[in-house]
Amino acid sequence: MYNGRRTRPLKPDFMKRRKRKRRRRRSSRTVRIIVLVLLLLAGVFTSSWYMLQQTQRAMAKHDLEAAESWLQWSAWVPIRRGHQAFLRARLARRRADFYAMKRHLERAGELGYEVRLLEREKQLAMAQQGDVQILTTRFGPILKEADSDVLEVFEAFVIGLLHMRRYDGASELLVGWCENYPDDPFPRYLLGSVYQDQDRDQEAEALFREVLRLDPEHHQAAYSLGIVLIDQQKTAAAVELLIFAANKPELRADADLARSQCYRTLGRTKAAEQLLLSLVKETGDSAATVELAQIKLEAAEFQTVADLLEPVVEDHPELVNARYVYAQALRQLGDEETADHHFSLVIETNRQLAHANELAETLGSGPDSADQHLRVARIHLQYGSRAEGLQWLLRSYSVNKQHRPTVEELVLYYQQQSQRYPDVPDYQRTLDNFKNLLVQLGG
Amino acid sequence: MHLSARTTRQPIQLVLICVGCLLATGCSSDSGEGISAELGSLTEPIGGVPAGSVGAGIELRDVSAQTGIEFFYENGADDQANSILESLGGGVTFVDFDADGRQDLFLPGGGGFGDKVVVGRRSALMRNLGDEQFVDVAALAGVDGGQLYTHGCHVGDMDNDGFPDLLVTGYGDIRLYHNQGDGTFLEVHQQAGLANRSWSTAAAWGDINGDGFADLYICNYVNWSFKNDPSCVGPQDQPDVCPPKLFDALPDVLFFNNGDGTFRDVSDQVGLVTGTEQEYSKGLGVLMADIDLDGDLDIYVANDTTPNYLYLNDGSGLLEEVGLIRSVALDAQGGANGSMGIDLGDYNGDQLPDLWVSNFEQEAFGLYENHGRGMFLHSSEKTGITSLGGLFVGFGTAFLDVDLDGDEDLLVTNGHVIKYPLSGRVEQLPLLLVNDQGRRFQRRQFPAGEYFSTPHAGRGLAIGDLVGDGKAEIVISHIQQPCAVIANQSSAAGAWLSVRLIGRNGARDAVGATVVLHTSSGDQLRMVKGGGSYMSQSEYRLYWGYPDDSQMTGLTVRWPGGLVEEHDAVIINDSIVLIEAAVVE
Repeated sequence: MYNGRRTRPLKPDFMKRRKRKRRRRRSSRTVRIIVLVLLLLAGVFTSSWYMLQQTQRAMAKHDLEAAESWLQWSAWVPIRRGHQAFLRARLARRRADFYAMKRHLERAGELGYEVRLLEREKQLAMAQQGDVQILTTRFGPILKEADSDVLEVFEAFVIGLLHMRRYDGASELLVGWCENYPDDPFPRYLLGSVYQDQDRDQEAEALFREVLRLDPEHHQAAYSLGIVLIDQQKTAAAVELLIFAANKPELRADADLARSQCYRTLGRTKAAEQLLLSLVKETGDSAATVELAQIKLEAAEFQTVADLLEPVVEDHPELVNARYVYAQALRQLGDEETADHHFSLVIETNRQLAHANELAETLGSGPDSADQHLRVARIHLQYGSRAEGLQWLLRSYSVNKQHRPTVEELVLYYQQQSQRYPDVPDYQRTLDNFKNLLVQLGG
Repeated sequence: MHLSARTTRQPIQLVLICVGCLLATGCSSDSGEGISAELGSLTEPIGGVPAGSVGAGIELRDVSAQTGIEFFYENGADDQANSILESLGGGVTFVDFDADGRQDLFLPGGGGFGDKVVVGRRSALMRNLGDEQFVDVAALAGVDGGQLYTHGCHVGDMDNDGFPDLLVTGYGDIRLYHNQGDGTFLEVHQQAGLANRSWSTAAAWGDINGDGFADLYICNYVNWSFKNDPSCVGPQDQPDVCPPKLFDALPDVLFFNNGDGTFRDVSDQVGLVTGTEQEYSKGLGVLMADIDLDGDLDIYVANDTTPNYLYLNDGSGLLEEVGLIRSVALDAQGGANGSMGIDLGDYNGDQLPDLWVSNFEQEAFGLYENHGRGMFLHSSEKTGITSLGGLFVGFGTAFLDVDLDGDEDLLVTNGHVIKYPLSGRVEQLPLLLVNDQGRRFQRRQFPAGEYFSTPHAGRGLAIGDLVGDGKAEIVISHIQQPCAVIANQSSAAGAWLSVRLIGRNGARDAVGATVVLHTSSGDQLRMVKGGGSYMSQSEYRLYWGYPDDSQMTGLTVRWPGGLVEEHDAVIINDSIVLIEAAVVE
């Protein structure tokens, strides 16, 4: 009824129906939106779970590049951050980047990740670096609580034992690992490397072949098998493997160098020379340069030898073979005084390194052995390679963390490294750590 | 082959440098270069010589059974002393002690171990009766020894009377057997002033100071004794022989012959290296020859795990050690090897003598090519020697033209020194490396069952004409096995010549002489050498072979005193003796 005020007209039924329809549509849309959101959330959770699973799977297969990719993808998903951080820490440990590992573990802790797992990861890192106390006392207890990380534990301890040259212990673990995981190429590769180190060529060959059977794309095994075959005079067969191994960029220099030596053995000096020229031109590899120089020496191209080796001798004083070949070239060119100087250095270097080897063979593993470890380290630092010297310093530190002379030597080493490579912050960090330790030791 | 420092770097290091980087799998699926094509080209023959044709026709037959020689060297391993002393073994020596024109054999007996005491074992002197028959006359001749743990025996005519004398080396002493000329010897080392209480191994006779009398260089090894007897173990912790690096070196000695049956020690006066720290000489092989072709006698010493020595003679007997700067002390990588056996020969026919050294396992045998002006270069890689790999522990060795094609081949006997080597190979195959026209050496394979296809615990090796047919037989001594007598019955189509020099103006054996055979296919240099091989002595006779289609045109002999003689009328396929023309002053 019209009462002078504007009122809404009465809605006819169809209007009511339309409104009901609209309400129904709105509610079904809402439901759809809710469902979509839920699906999205589920997808996010699932994808996060999936990506982290893939990360772990890649790490189990030792495909660290793939693991890193998956971790980077998972970073887009803002959940399970603690687990992401933990896996980042683990990846860093696998890459022996212990500073990064420490950062990521701290982050994981801040994000509430399980402390027990964080602590175990730290112990695995110590084992991996050859901490004698961890290696000798913690394997059983850690393995007992390893859950799904049994292989992580095995790997960390094996690598640590190898660091400390405890080949028997490493072999024992690896043999058990191989037996329990018949399809895993990784322990077979490591065990093959141990046997190769011990000149057990036939056993090493069998293991490397097994690795390639399990993983035909295992370039490192192909390279190692090539070397083992060379040692058994199966030179032609070795060449094939080395060609394959060279496809992996980080193996190329070593593989091509070994292949050039095969060619020389087979009497194909020209082929060797061409391969080496290419390698030297592209990479400047010092070992390849020395090999090329030896070919030139045989061909009596003494000036070429001298020109090739002068910078190598200067940059790599630890390369005795480079210095010896260089000295021979100088002698042939009539520069007797300089040649004599280098010859003397060759003899002295050989003498010192032989002495270091003798010391190394009688080393113990207790804290008292730190002195001898340090002697070996100093010889290598002065006469051999700095990398080898550092390994021995770290072993010395590992057997006795209170050994002041070792810590002093480590401070000196990292001082030099941080000066030489100012763009690598890890050197400065390590230097600071050891300086702090020195202060604690009362220095 | 000897790989570079990096490629043989411990594989563990490669693993540890970057655990993640190097162990990552699932890499590029790039299958790489044409592998089959590459492999195919590797089987192509080198230098146009069909594979397998080098050394065709070579036949080396083991005639040991016919000789009746059953005597063998004992090292005392069964006494379980596990002493480094038992690892050296003994040599074999050619000597015509009774001057009947047939080469006899002296075989040191070795020894054993009592209760912390080193004991000797008698030696054998196998008299050649002809027709490949021998009888042991050591006791009759007075050379059976017995008190001395023996190693080597070296022949020299100390008094130029035409009857060769014997110097026997051993642990803690030496023996000098002076040939009486009636088939017997008198042991006179003390009367002769040869005082050497060290552990002597190899020796060489040669006139170093040019006074016409053969002098004596004696190698000494390491200072092992029961008072200095560390314990060593094998890979499974079994007791085993210790390596030489655990001991100090013992200096070598040089005795000048006074010409009156006595000798004087001149080691300190002539420039010998006499240090005794671990890095000095641990001599196992010595060779005397005119290495730098300047007319005087030089000395090359093979040292075990320390640099080898090259002593160049200034002509008056003063020696200068120049091994390092002449590039014959170390291997191609600048490392010292475990060197045992030596020989000198012109492998590439350039009229310059090259040095050859047999080494320990994982070390390439060393061929040092003479580049003139006293400079050498390590050429094992270039000549294919490194293709042998690192499996052999090489001892006695010699250059010999086995196939009579005009270039000298190489013989090596091998055998490990410890009881439990990692390779598992104590007994090892001997080697014949056939010279392919002075470019490369190729290992000759032999049918199964033959001597050269059977492993042995080889030590000494010497060559000489046992049969009297002008061709050299090869005699190889073993540990705990009778020696092998190998006859060269190759069907090679070549001619041969052998020459024995008798000096008159200098020492009778003419050590230091060089002889060049001139043929239409080229000249061939041979040298009269003192010592050589490993604790063994070959006959002082030179052997040549040359292709049938080339003609021999003469011989040039350069005697140690400098006299040069040309001989035009030389009969082929003959064994001759050349006596130095007397120089009338």
